[in-house]
Amino acid sequence: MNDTLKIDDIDKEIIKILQDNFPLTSRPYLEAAKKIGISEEEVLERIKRLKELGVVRRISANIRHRLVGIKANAMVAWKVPKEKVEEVGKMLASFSEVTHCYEREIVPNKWEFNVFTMIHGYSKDEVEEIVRKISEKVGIKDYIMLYSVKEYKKTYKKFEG
Amino acid sequence: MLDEIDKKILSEVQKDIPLVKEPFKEIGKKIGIDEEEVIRRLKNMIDTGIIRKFGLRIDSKKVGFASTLVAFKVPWEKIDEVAEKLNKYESVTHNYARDHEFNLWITVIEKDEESLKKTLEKIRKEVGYEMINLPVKRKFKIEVKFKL
Repeated sequence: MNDTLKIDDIDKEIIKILQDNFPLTSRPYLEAAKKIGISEEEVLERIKRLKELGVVRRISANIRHRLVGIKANAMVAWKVPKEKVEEVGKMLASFSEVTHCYEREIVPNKWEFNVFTMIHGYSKDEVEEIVRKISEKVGIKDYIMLYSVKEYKKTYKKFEG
Repeated sequence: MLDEIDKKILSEVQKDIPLVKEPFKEIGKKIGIDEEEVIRRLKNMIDTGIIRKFGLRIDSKKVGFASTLVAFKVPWEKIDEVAEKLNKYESVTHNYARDHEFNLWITVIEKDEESLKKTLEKIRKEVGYEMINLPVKRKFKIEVKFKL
């Protein structure tokens, strides 16, 4: 079933208003409700439903890790045998230092690391230590650490319903 | 720059905030400060850039978006130039130089698969260097908060 079909224009309005400029006021949903012309209760009900559908993941802050001292992060790509991806992927995801864990397509002979993780720490040394620990626990020795040397852009796709 | 109260607030707002009429009051109660202080400190952390973005987070796939990770092998002396070109694309949301043979890594997101395909072709032609496209097959964990 296509969940996109279950989102109507009011849902889209709610997403648009609350995804970027979430009101930092006592009653944020009331503010959104007034803009749309529905009740505060309806806004809350609809967000609840959108969460159940998985359209809204959560309402939260995204922080700049560098500014709170978490200065090091590495994209670590692992070469995991196909039959082990499910098991290893779940294991990798269970570490608190791992913030993202995806299986991706490979490009034969050019790129054969199929599981990607983002790993954060307070220093490069710490990140390397974490990666060694994880590698041992999941039993995957073939991996590559990709440190970012420059950030050119980091934004989010806006929902333009 | 951050004191203990800021850190407590950050821990709370990195999680899903409570879906109630007065979410900041609720967060304040948990920490032991009043609503006004929660809001004042949040605004301050947004102004100083510690909080990059605050709001509703959607699963872009569920609203029909298509995205992928793409890497290029660019000569190091050309990398700034190529990165700038790529930054002009609104659909390029992340763009990093990384210390590898494949040294430029971008995330591209479009409203559907068809548009993504078109944008990737355009990018491939404009960049002109070797490019690999690594779309997601399965997600095990997505953007989970890092413990402070």
